[in-house]
Amino acid sequence: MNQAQLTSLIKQLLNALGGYLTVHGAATAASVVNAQDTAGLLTLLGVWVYSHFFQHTDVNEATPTPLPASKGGGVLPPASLLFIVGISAATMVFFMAGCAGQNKRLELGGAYAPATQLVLTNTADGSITTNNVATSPADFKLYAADASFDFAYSALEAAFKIERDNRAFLWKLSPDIKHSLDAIRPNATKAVQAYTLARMKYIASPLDANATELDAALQVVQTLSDAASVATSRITIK
Amino acid sequence: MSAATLALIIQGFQAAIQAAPQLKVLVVKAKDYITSLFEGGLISKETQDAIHAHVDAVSAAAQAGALPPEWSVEPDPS
Repeated sequence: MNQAQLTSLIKQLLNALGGYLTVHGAATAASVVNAQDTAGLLTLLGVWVYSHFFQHTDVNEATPTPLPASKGGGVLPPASLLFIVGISAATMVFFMAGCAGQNKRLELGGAYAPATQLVLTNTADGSITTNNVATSPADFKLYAADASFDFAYSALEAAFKIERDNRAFLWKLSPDIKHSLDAIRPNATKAVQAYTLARMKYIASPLDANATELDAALQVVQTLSDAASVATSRITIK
Repeated sequence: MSAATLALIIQGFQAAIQAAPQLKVLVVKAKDYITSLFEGGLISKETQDAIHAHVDAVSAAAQAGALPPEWSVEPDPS
């Protein structure tokens, strides 16, 4: 296995993990797994681990290569590499998911924490105090869903727009780029419409059942956003 | 290097330059989103209002069947 294959393997594992997390309700964690910084960091870790455990020093080698193929009698079997990368990815995901949402507050007066200004005048000295008073409970759940949707929508928009703006050039590289995104486009449109409907329903009546429906609609958008990222990541110049 | 290859490389640079503004928007959003996963504390009114306004606009467009043209399937180049 060379370094390019290792990098590709790590990215495929992360894509699969992201899809799994999305399907099972961990939308925030899935978005983190699919972030470019995550892929870059795990690639660095994977390359280090592979070179540490698999690199053999042989005095008879004329030109040692960075990642030589494992010879018979290597320290660890290849399956352990997948295990190490998988554990690193899972650990990072759960760590990041645990960090998400902790100690977060919505500033009063924002769209998700509506408030009104209460002006108090001290009759003794005439001083004026202005306080924000909440007019309805802050809705962190809606904020989190909208923030995740905003990001996923932007990723889809970027993929579709870049492909459309550079269609002639990308078509020469591979017709599969347009075809892959064309398979996603109608589903993405429906998914965005479904999210907006679920959002309207939740805002009108913020019940748990409507919140569940909102999360489900968000997951579909995020899954399609991940698929569009995979489709555009295959752009290579041959 | 053949003329066809050179033309393809130049088109590649042009494509990259054209994609840069869209990618910049996405990179900024990604950075803000991932940063918000780790930072505790207050989510500002400005951040809330910006996200809410954008999602409202997308919702209105989606319900009206008026998403941007790049969301539609168009014929393959001839």
